[in-house]
Amino acid sequence: MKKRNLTRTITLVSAILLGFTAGGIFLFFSGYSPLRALEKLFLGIFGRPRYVIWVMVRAVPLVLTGLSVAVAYKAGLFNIGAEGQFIIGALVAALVGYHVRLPMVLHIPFVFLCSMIGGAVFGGIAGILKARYGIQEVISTILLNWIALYSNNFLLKFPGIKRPDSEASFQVRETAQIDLFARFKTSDSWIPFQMENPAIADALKASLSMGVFVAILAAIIVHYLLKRTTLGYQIRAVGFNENASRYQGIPVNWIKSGSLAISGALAGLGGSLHVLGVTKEVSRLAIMEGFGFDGISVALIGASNPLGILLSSFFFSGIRYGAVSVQRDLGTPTEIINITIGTIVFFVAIPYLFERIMLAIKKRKEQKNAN
Amino acid sequence: MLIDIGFILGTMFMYATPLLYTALGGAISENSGVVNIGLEGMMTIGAFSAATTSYFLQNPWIGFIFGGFAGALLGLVHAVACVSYRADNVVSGIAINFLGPGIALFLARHFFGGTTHTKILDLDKKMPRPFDGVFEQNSFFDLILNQYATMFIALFLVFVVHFVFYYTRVGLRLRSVGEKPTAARTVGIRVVLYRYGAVIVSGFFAGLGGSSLSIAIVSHFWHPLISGQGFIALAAMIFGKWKPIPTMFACLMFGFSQGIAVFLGRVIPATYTELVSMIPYALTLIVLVLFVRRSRAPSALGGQVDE
Amino acid sequence: MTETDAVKLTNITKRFPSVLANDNINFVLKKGEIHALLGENGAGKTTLMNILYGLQRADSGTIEVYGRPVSIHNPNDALSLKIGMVHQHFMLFEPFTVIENIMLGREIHQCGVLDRKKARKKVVDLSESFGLTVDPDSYISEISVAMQQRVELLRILYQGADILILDEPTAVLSPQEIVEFGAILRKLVTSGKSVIVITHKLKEIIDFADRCTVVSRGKVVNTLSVSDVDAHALASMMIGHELQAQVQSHKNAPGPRLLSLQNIYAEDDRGHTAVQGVTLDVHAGEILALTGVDGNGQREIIEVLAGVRKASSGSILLRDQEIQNYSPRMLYESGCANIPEDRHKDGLVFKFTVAENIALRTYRNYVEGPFLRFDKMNHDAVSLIQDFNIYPADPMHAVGEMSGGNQQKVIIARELVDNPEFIVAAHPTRGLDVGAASYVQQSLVQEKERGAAILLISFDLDEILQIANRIAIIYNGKIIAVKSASDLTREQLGLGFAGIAE
Repeated sequence: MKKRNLTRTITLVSAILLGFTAGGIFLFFSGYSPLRALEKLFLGIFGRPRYVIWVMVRAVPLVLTGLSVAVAYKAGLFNIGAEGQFIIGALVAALVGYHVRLPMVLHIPFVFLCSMIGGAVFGGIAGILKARYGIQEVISTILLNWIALYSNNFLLKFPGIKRPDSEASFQVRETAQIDLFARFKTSDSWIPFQMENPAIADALKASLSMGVFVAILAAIIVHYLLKRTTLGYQIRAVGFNENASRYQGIPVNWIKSGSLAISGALAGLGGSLHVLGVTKEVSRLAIMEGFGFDGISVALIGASNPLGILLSSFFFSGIRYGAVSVQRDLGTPTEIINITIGTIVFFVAIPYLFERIMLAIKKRKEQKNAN
Repeated sequence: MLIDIGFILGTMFMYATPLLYTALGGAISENSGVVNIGLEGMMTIGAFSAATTSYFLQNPWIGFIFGGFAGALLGLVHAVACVSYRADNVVSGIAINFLGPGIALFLARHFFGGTTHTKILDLDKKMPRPFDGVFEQNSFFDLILNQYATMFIALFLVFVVHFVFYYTRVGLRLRSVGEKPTAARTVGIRVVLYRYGAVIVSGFFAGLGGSSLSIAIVSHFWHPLISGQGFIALAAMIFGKWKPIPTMFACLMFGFSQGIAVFLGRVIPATYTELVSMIPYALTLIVLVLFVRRSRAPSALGGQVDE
Repeated sequence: MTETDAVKLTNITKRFPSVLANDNINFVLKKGEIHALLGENGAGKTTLMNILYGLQRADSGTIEVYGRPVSIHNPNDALSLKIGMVHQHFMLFEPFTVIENIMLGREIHQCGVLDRKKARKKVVDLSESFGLTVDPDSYISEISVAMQQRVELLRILYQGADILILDEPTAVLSPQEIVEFGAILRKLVTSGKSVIVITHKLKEIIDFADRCTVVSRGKVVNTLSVSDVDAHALASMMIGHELQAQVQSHKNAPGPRLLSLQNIYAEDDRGHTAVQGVTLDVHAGEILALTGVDGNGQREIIEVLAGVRKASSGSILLRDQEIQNYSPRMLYESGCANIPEDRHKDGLVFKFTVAENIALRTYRNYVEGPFLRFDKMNHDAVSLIQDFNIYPADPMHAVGEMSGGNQQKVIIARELVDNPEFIVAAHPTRGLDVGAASYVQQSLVQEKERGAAILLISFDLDEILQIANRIAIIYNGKIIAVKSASDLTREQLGLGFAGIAE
């Protein structure tokens, strides 16, 4: 157990270093100073309190899609559909957030619930197709992603959903918005507060929302779900050995469909948090936004472990956010980020390489000692 | 009516072309036992390289081949990870899907003055169309057959790959490696070599798939050009049960529903275009439900070999 | 040069991280002999042969082939020295045809294009000259295990092997087929081939080997001529001590009928009717052995009784209550237990701990709200680990890292813990060493004496004759005979395996 964790840690740390090195090499060859870029990146993330908050806010959807991918993965399924489930969750949130009138204490949970149901249905479809018809979830979720995207665009053409003179939906009502301190920031006491507490005020300038806390809570719940609950035990059993699980009377098909539904619910919640906390609306999508696809990488880097996913989403969101200021200040091309992330994921895929290197180092040490 | 059918069939061939190359690539890699979810990234780098070389050398054929080589290069990266270092095939594939577009866009900026798209090719520097002008313009046969050369090459390659798979020594060995690598090794087949070869060729094909988009169907490369076609090709290959000819039909079916979508898009109100765009995906899903029973993947798919 | 040794292994040593698999082994295969390599599971026989075939490298020692010292790095080297090996687990490709399987690696081709016609002719010629009849055009997935073995033999002959290594070749054959197999081996050696047979079955050695080398714990105990020795002496050499007292089974009078299969039909994975109207009664307090050559419908019956395959018609009564098409869980709740034939695939979750595996069917006892009480689960496992002698005695140990015998004990602990009324035991001792196997048999006998009805599926005749009360023979999906164990001889069983019942 311990040895495996050590290898994993070494792999992850080396992968991140190698990722940055790859990014640095590309920067160097296009005439930028990698070190300055790294410094800017760091400052772009940690330079001001509000940057950190922003990174956290942007990490929220990734935590949820990452958890989504991880839950399915534990059941032995590969959910490429977090993207589509996210889109559906966001769409439902925008609709319920605008068309339903409820007091805030009810409205927000109600939106969450509806989004989760939307995502769960969408994930569940893939689950049923897999369990009932044996259609690989990899294919069905790819196709469902596109169906989600076009459904979103289709619905956004109808009056009553589409905000006049825009490509977007109506904004969700205030009772469904989850920003924190929004009212405080427009109140009279804001300006004196800013003077007295510049650091906190700066942090508050980022639109911190409840989403951050919901995401952390979701990670904790998923952790307990997998580790402590009956369902988690069943999911892991099915993921490790479907046949044996069936032999022992675990309802394999239900567990598979169920885990894809849970997976969908998580991604749907992600869409909901994104809409209620950041965008307040959904708009026409020309291409996939990539929250779901990034979720795959987040889950991989986080080793499908909820705590790992929290960290890796922060990391992911951090370099994406920080890169914006690197680009702004130095004019570096944004693709470097994809190259960096790609390299990191690539090396995360090959712990065996690092195992071998560790083994070689150990051997050499032993030889030295022997001499 | 006949003209409409011609239009739909023509559109089918056009849409199916990049998928054919890429899905064949997928079949080659996966029959050797290596999952290739990185087709998307390989297509992207192929599309970029083809558009760029064609533009600078003013020759679409060199561009086309170059696109293949660029894809093959990413294939090599995937092979190193999956074959030599026992990578989780899916994870490595995801990495390729970041690296492909990342490198393509980076180089695009480098070659085209900071923009992320390549310059548009002149019409006469694109892939030629062998049946151009043979039939009366917009006649039934013109609509169907007046396609870019890449389409005909793709169909030809389907049969080449089929022949190689089932009638040659290399094909037999390739499939044996994907089926039971330990057993293949005991009869002296070099599993690692075959897997490397297959994954690299797979990348080459995906690269050609990208090229067939950027220098034939359209005339330049820009960022969302590929957007998901690598995944659709993968789906087509699984739908085609990892076999070249059924895979071809899967690609054509997808192209056909695109054809219907484009056709309907012309005749119905604009409100419904999005619904129509959904057709290919929804139809594929329905066909899967109705006709596909559990299909048999190569047994050793995604597994590792100890050397 | 009159070299009489086909193979000479001298001082071969091979160490694995945890064991010394081969300890200074010397071994000589004479030209034109059938030489049995005898030993228990894990004695080091297969390792030694893998070294000769180039699949593993010896740490030290030398190999001579026809008197020439050689080094064998991979199977290709072995093949070019005319050494061929048939592995215990067949190295065949199910989606390929017989011809494709045989020629793989040594294809007849023209510029890379396969010449199936020529290959076919060569295969047919070979099969005729050695009496290895097989349909060259069928797919491996369609032919019986015995046929598959012929394909394996044909393959190494096709490859030009003169020295044949056969790893446990009779494990999957019926007694009748074993006799035919012996004749084939004889034919091979008379035409100049030399054969090494790895086995742990004594009777076969006496029946068809010329000489025999006994290996125990990585060392050679003795090499001797088969005519000089009897089975008993061989057995004590193999185990290193006198044979243990055999499992005692009182052939007690069985109780009332407990489980009854009535006219059961079931399909296999490919949709063929594999079980064709099986009717069987199992009584409380008896072990009924269902036996026959593998692939005659046993697997489907096992799966129907485990609730993972639906019978297409017929009924199954447990205490006169219909349980046909119950789910696995309902079966378990009505008192059925199932020891599946494939531990790895159907029996255990290798990445789970011992406790988690034991709880696979009883986990509902630990449910508390949405949670599962893992602490209780581990606690309960500790006492089972003691009762069933599971090593290592740690409920948190991953099952995948345990020995086969201990894995089987985990399954048995799980299945027998709440005194089931009806137990299906499918090949419960396959792949276990003598000690573990006798432990498993003992447990079954105890269950029987407690009053459980047991259906034992096995083709190990020794096992069946030792512990079963009655024996049912299945052939081609039908029960062709049910007899009291004491009324049957080996020979009758053998005929029954071939579908002949008097």
